[in-house]
Amino acid sequence: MATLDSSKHAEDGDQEPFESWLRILGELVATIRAWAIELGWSVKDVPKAMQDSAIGRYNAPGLIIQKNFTKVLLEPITRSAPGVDGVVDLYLMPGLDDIASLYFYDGQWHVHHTPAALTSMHEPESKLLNKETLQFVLDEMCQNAV
Amino acid sequence: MPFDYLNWTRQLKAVEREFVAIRLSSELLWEKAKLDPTILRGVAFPDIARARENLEGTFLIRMFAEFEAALRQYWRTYRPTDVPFRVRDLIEGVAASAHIDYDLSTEAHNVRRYRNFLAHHHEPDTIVQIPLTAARHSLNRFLSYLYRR
Repeated sequence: MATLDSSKHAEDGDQEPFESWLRILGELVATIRAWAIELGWSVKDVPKAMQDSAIGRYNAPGLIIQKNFTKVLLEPITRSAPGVDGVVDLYLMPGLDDIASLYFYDGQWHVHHTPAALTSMHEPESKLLNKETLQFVLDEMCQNAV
Repeated sequence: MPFDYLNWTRQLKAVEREFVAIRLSSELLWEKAKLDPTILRGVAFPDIARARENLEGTFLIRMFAEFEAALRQYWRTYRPTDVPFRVRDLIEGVAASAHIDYDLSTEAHNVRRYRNFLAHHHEPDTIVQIPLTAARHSLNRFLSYLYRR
């Protein structure tokens, strides 16, 4: 659950976008938690302390999901970026190597992922986030994890 | 305060993200300045070229500073003795305390040596250049052993 540091008081115009971000982020974490469990992964909530220029400090929800020796961190990055209304990254632990980025736009989360078969010179593929795309990304991590 | 290894690994990742952002900015500036040099406002092209050339090394020095700070906090939290002054001894002491395997310690020392070369030009004949991404990977793997405490 997200919590807010009361040391900074947001202007009214900032509060609504911030609350929207916390809502969609909370829904994303809850959804991925449920899918991960259905796919046979174990999950652990790991909050992240974040700093927002308009709101101040707050705690955002994050997630560690693990199957056997493969551990993945779902990490909130920012509530706003050009063209998107939320950015969340997936990292392979323990090194925090890039796996995929999740972007919220057009009312939905999208996965931007470069399959292991392609080199880093390729543009990441963009797909709608659903249980199947999540499973594809996670299964690839299991195959390629060191 | 208990040692939070996850937040320290996040700190190192955040340094890498800043590097990626600044690298993109410098590339865009370079391309725009080639078309319209008046935007530089007193900054010379050689300055930008040097900045781009030294950018990754600058951020590696900063990333290693975060890593060193993590190890010092770990030592102060869990070890009864004074924190070692030399970083080499600090890495060795933490590795022994947390039972970190030799290969991983070696990777951390390689990053340390490269950082020393960048900062002080020590050991230029034996240095191995390490990309920032690889340094973050190795140092975070080292820090991940500290979760057991």
